[in-house]
Amino acid sequence: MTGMTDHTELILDGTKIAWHQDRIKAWERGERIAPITIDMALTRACNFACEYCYAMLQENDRRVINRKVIFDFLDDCAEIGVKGVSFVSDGESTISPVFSGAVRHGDELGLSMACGTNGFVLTERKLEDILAHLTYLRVNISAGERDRYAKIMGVKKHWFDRVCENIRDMMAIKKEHGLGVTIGMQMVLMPEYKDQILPLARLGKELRPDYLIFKHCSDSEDGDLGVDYEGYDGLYDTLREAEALSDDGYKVVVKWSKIEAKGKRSYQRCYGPPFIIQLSGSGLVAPCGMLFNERYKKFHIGNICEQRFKDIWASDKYWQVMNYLASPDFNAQVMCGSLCLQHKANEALDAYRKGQLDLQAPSGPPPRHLSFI
Amino acid sequence: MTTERIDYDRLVADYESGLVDKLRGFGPAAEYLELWVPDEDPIASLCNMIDAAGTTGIDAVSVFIGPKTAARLDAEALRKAAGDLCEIRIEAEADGLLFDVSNILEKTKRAKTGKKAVWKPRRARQLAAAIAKAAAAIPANRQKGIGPAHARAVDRAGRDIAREGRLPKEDGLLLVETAADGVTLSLLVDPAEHVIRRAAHQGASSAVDRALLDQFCRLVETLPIQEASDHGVIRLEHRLRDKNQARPVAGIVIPEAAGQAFLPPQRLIRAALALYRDRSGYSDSKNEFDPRPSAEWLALSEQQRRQRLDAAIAEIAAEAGFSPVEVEVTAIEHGLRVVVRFLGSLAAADRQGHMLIMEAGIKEKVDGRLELYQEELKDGNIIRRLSDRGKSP
Repeated sequence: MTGMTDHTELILDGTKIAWHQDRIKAWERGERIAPITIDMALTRACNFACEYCYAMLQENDRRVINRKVIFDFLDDCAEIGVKGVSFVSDGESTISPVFSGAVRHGDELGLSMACGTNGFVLTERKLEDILAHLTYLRVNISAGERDRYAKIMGVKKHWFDRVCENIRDMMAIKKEHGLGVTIGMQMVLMPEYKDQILPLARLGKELRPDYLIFKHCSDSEDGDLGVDYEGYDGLYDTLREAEALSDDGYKVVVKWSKIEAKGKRSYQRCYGPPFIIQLSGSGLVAPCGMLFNERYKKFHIGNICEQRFKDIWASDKYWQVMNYLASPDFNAQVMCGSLCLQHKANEALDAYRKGQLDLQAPSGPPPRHLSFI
Repeated sequence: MTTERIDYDRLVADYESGLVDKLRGFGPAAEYLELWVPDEDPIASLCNMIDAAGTTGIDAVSVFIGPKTAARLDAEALRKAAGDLCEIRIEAEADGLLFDVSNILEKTKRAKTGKKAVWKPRRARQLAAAIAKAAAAIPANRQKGIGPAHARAVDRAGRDIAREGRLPKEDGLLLVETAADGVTLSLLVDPAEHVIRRAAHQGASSAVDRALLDQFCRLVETLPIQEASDHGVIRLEHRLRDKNQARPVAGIVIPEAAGQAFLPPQRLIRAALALYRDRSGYSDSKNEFDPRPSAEWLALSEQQRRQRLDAAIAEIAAEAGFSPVEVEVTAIEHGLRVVVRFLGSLAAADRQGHMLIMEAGIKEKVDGRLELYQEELKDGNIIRRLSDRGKSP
């Protein structure tokens, strides 16, 4: 088996963990490694109300990430050796008053910064402020038509027009200034959104982002969101038709590996979090977004609104929780929701530990966005 | 067109409280400010507001700034910063300032931040030394043979060797034998279910290796051979580790990092699986083995299970020094997920730490397969869950 994708220029359906041999070797030696990637949000709030929103299941004690908290956090990340910080996780970070400053500060520290957003408040003026400091910016847009967009994403119809305008502006600014930032669009695909696959692929062809990606929807271990994983089978032909709309400057990508997994995991140990960890928009440090809810309190390590991240990382509690996930006490097949952020890294690390995968450094030039594994 | 008047401080306060209180569908009350995001810097914040208003077609706004914000606002700096977004008139009003902003639409057509978007030189190289230093700060504590965390259990195992020797063939079972460095691992595997029925070892040259292999053989009996290969040694290390001692390494406990003595059983079981596949034609590598709770636990009624848990929690509480009445079992899901609620002083204490202590305790005292959770916290917003479609409200 292989947990790796052929290292094309931009890996969107795989893991880049094999390019981080230093961390893998240190992890195997039992050393404390800093995460390569941290995914977080600057707030739990969002101006949208998407019907597939997993964040509704991630409720935990709310705190406010202010400027001091996020600047200290980013300073700590740079100090301990984190390479990339993405603002995605369980809230819409662009509506946080500290968003722009955090993006700039992280970049100035040498961290790769990225953002997943609904893109609504990212008007031209704000984009000019932040785009130069980002490695990638990905807009979540789960429909290609106004009415369906409003229904699926829980917003007013005219917000669709604003988001499209903002994507046009992103591409114009990128082109005008020759920026290296990758601009993407992403559809969180549910089987019932089949009618929007081709309209969105055509919209992308018109707006000209660097890529459009179709991804599965995650669900909790008890299926609280009601995702019908068997229903994805009926989308394959339409997805292939969408992929065929790719051209030289616009790539349509389907996360086939996750869609075809149908929410199942090949592994039981969760080895990924020491390499890629998630923080809630409440400041909560937990191994994974699926463990944010207070229900999973035993995995809650600390909160950056109360304690410096470098101290949380160096604490015994951090390594106690990470070790729990790697121990026989934990079984990701029955104790976790489906298809988490760490899924591909977990697959690769687990197969490697089982002797089923040779996780050597790949040959050839490294892919882009290496700080986001 | 009527000029909109905005109470800036109230708007910011509402925005900030909304970020905490309103999980979804969040936004400022005024529709024409739906694109506005405040900033801790009031000048940037007001410029954002003017830009947001202009983008939604509003040409003029009147913004009142209360005394607290006014005191830290440089009005001339604001006039300069907002100059390419609007016409601006500033007057003192009450204890604060009133900004009359106009001609936004015309100005914002041309407005740019003026910032040149170029890649800045990064400080990554400067940080390299600090990163290397941080990574090396906590040395790995690798053990060549077996470390102190496992020493006592291995010593005990060495005095109770029960799986040494070679296994004879048995009808209906497939005998698999592999050898490395003079050590032989023998397994009798049920080819119908691919489960190891008996295991034995021979030839270990050191007391530690002999004890580890003996414990390993005991552990893998009844396990599917795939599970034994995938996780047998992880289970062995975990079972033998003294949980009252510090973990054998600072980071993640990979068995061979915890002690090189865990390598021989790992090599032998992997070779045995390969041989078994070759002989039996078994090719499936999927592993979904999940040990169930004991038959005894499963046979108990809900009330009996709660009684067992309450008794165990009382013992754990006495050992850990907290009051058992401050923990309430609220549910047992699927017969194995124990859900608790913390009351009194425990509700404000380190619940994470208490949960791990309690989970370890109920695994030891009640059933090793039980899991512990706190009650789910639900958001007050309406969840548009797909699974709720078609259900009555």
